[in-house]
Amino acid sequence: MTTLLSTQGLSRSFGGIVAVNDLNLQINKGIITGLIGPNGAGKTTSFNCITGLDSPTGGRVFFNDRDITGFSPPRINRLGIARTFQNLRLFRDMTVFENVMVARHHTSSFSTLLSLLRINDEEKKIQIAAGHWLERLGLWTHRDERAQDLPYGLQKRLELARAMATEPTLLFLDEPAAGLNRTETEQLMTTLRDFRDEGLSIVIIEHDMHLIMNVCEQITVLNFGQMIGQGTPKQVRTNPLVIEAYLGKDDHATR
Amino acid sequence: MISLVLLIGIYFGIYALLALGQNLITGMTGLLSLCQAAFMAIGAYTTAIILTSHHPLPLAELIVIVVFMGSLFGAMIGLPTLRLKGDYLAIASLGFGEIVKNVLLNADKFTGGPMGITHIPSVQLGRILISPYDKSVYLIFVWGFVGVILWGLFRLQRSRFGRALEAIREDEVAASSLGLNTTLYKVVAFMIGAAISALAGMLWAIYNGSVIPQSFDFMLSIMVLCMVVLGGLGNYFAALVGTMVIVIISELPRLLGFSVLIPAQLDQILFGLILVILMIYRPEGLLGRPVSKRNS
Amino acid sequence: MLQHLLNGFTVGSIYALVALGYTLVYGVLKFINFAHGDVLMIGTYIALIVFNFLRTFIEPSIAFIIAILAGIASSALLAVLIERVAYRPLRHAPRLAPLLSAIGLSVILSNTASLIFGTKSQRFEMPFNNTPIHWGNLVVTPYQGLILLTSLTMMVLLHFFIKMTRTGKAMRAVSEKPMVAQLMGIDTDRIIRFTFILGSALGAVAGILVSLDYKVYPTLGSLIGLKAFIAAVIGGIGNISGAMLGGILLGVLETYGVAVLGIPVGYKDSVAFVLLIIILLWRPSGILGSNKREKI
Repeated sequence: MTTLLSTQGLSRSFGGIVAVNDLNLQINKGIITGLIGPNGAGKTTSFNCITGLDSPTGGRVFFNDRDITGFSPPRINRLGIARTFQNLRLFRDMTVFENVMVARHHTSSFSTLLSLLRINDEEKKIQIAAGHWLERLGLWTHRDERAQDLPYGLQKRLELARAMATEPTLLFLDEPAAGLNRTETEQLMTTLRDFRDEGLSIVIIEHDMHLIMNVCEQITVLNFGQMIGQGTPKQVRTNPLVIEAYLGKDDHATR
Repeated sequence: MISLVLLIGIYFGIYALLALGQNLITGMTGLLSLCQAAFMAIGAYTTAIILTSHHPLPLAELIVIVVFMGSLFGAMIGLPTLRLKGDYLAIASLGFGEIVKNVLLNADKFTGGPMGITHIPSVQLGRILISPYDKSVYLIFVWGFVGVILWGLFRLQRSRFGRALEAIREDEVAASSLGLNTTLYKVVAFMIGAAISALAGMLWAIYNGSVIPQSFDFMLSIMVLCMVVLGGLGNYFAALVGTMVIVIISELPRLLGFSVLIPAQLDQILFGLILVILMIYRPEGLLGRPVSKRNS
Repeated sequence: MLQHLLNGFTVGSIYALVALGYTLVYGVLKFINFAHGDVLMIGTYIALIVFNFLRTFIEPSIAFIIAILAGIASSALLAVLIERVAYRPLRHAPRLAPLLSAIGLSVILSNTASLIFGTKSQRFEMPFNNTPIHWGNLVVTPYQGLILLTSLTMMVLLHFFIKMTRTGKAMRAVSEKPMVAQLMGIDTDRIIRFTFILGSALGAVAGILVSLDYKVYPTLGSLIGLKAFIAAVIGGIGNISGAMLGGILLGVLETYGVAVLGIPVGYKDSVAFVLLIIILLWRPSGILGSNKREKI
């Protein structure tokens, strides 16, 4: 298995609070990796440091053996890394179609500026590509609705469609199943497996253990900003440190 | 009477340009810029200096240079500040306005100091003489600009560029995570807005025949902001409506003949009140759509 | 050389006091209180009026002290009023709204003052003998001494207040993690109100001190306010030591710039702005600012 992305000694402190502490993450290519841990374990902060939204106070990030530490978010996206957000960051007042079209702007900033001056068929290409992703995620019929008018489940899908439309090779999902019911979660799981089969590498932060255990091939567990375990779902499930992190120390053994 | 109406029409047109520029910057891109007056001053003084020099340029070239100067200064302010949080632009633009005023007052040799530059000649558009003495011609001249720029801004709004700006305004973090170079877009939008203001300055300079630093003060920037906010941020026609309302408020005393009774401060207080009351009770302005909750 | 340092320090302490007002409010609300300068201006006017009234029948120095208290009280009262009426309703509104409201307020205040007190500047006579004292190579006036002593005392007091008292700690808590502070039972509204009072009190003192030499006029607050805000940004907005450092630094650099580097006096006010651009390009979080990015 090749390593697609890795961090070396990644650290992030906010004043006195150490959110991420010397993290050595390894994301392998072509699989779905889970990133789990109690709230405040540093999962989203790690995401942010990797995807350029935040700069680490220490350590480095490597993507395809290239040091991408501190790169800006647009640059990181153009290298092939996309992400979704825990609290959804849709362009609420724009239509579903427009939301995904924005994701296709990465063709080139410069040609977008030229679009001021002449009509060019970049626009047509953008519409076709955007339309493809909308269909893929079952949003085509909603394309002219405003993002904020969609039901929550569809909004989550839109967030995913948008990220996918940037055609990443590595996708970071921050709690994609939060707020979804069982059916929607199952649909999500199928979709993710399909994407993986098509060659996409995925990293998921999740609290939904059913999803994590059934979709991820590798899981990394964080607590207090550090890795306390990693391995296959089976290995992680039986790791005492992990159990302790989630359930607390077993002072009085249940008799 | 007709003369007065034409006069108001001309000022309406010039202010409309300022409002359109402000709307692009603040309404469409979400940047709080407080120095439209300074950009206008740059356009006005550029015009004054060129037209009163030994080699005055023809109108077409003048326009190009004015647009260039406006954009240049827009870039100079935008590049350092737009990489950062929006609050910094507000202060930086305020400071920029101060500096421009400072320079205009002090660099006597270029700018004529507090007395400014006078005897700005009229210009030729083909065979037509564009002069402040023929108000109806000037009115058409000014509104010609408004029309062209309005058309351009609408094209912009519907283009990929406009879509990108809207995305940036909605959620800059998301936009940048999707690969958009948000700083570049913001700077370009800022430059365009500045250039439009500079053109307004050019029209002002030719109409008034002279320019003085005091015409381009912070209060003018506030007034322009009021116009856009009153009409409704993000909507170009609304900006025009807001401009009309504000121009009428400013000129009404003069129209009705009792301008002597109303001190200038009352106008300003009114503008301030408009801003505060609008923000609390109707932030979307007269014509805007109710504002959706932002991702903060 | 040392003389310039002294002079610069004196001017700088004024900036520092005003800058503290901005930084304190920004710390707890993440919001630039554009009206800060104008609030302190009003306080200064009130102090002037009280002083001129009382000195006709009370010993001037006592009248002065009462006047200062009156000025502080009025600024504080005004600040609280503004917070309640114009800022609090907008606490959860999109970012532009409170900024525009603050700008509107600033305009209302300065123009109202202009209407009520007149646009001509008024003298605030020093209630003490201001003969310069020669101290080795230095020339110090009692006035400068007063400024330095007062500001130093207030800054030291503030420092200990923030560090040691419960309210001070609560202020820090609200500024770092408002949600948590609320959950822990801190009355954030009260803390915010208190912050405004504190900031405006410092500002009022600064305003009164300045006007002893310069005079009182309606736009007193605007220029000092703008420069002080820039000073706060230079030092690191939200950082109390930063505000003090920024203020002193700005004062010293301004003084040196004119006296030593030969910057023409007319451009003195632009020094602040140029420094702002430099800081934004080099270290936007300010000299003492932490690299604390917002958590998404």
